Amino acid sequence: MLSKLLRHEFRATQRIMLPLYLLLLVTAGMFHLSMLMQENERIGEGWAARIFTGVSITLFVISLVGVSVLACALMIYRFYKNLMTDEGYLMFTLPVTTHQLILSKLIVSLVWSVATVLADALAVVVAMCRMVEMNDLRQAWQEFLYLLGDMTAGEIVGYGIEIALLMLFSAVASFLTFYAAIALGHSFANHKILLSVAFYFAFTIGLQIIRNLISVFSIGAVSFRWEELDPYALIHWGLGGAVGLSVLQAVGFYLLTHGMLRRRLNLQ
Amino acid sequence: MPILQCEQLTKSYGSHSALDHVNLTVERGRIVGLLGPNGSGKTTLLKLANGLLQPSSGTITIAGMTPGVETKKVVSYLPERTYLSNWMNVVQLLDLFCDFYDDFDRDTAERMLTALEISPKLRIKQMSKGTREKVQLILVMSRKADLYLLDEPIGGVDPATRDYILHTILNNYSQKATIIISTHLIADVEGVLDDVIFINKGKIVLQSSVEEIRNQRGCSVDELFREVFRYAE
Repeated sequence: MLSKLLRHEFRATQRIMLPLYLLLLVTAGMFHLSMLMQENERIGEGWAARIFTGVSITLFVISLVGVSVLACALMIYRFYKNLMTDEGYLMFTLPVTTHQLILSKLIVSLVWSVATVLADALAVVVAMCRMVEMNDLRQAWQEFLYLLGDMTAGEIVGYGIEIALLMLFSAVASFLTFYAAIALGHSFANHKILLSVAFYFAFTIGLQIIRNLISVFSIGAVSFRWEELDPYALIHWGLGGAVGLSVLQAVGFYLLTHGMLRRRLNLQ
Repeated sequence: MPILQCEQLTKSYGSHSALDHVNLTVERGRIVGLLGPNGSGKTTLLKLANGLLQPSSGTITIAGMTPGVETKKVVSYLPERTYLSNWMNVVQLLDLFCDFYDDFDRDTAERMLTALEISPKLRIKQMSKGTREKVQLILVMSRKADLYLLDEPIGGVDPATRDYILHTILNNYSQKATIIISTHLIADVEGVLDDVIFINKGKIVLQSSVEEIRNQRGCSVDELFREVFRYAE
């Protein structure tokens, strides 16, 4: 049943996400075209080309940021609209479990988040490919390798995996924080949206305080023997700790969301 | 085994009891009217039967099972609100119901849509309120369910649509299935009911067959309803 929910959820979201990506690529193409015009002395110095360049840069930057923001907003709105409003009468009477309902929303949100990062990257490549010379890229790569210092391939892969896991679980935890706030806010009889927003801010402030406390105590614990420690090992510990915190946050908010939807569902 | 059974079922919101120690048994193959004034607890009872609410105390079972995935396979529910997504068209809705409900009969649904001249390509947001309600009813009644729970299916629609809805209900359920129709418009549904349950202020006031009411009390369900709820006031 989860696969059916996923198919339905992708169908519901792709009708907005795909046109957004198309818009992003069109503005990237416009940006690219404006750069080509600037390379041509005869066309580039005309007022029309300057206006086009100004407009295309503005549109490209707005769409680059806007698509990411809209993608995130859409994923949160889908959870609210599909489960907490009248549409919930259908979704919660389908022969599926509450776990499957939450997971379908979460998985689709993650897939579109990754797709949005890739679409943004592709748009930047399309827009900038005329401006960046191969020599610049080669130089940037050399500088990157220099920054990595004397790390072995195994260490580089290890960091890569840790950073990828951190990004994944941070995204999972972020979506689940929104879900939990919405589910908790909608368990009340009145002011559901206002309470959801209030719970979200309460969660994020509380989490930030916990993170800061953990950081302060962790640094305090190792500061007296700072010079004995291997800096690479410290980075591993830091990344591992951050992944662990994200996993704890995700599990906590998942259980809260599930509990609210299972036990305290309160559709109007 | 009864299709629906409640034992000491209570649902409270703070100090207010929407349902108060309800004991109820509904057998298979009956058309039952769940009748009561606004705010009497009809919708709460149907929501509990669908697992949309959890009881404060007591139990409710569908074919012996607590509401959950297995009961949702055999219960077809028409809520009083329109739950269809605005962006979807009729074909997408049929696909959705086919996907999730093994007992959904697509041919029956398409036949009813054709009879009402509702285009399969029409989006929900392009439909009038009445058409949306008809589409929702068609989807619900095109399932071969064991239990149909219809919450105010004729509330807020014109008399012609009301006739169509009752006609659709009567023509699209198997004789082994049970239909529970929640309404306060008694005169309109009286002719199709086998049994009635009167509910007021969260308590079951009366449960009887329509035949019993007519034979023993010598009045119609509508007349008895007015009499019972006059006392209740």
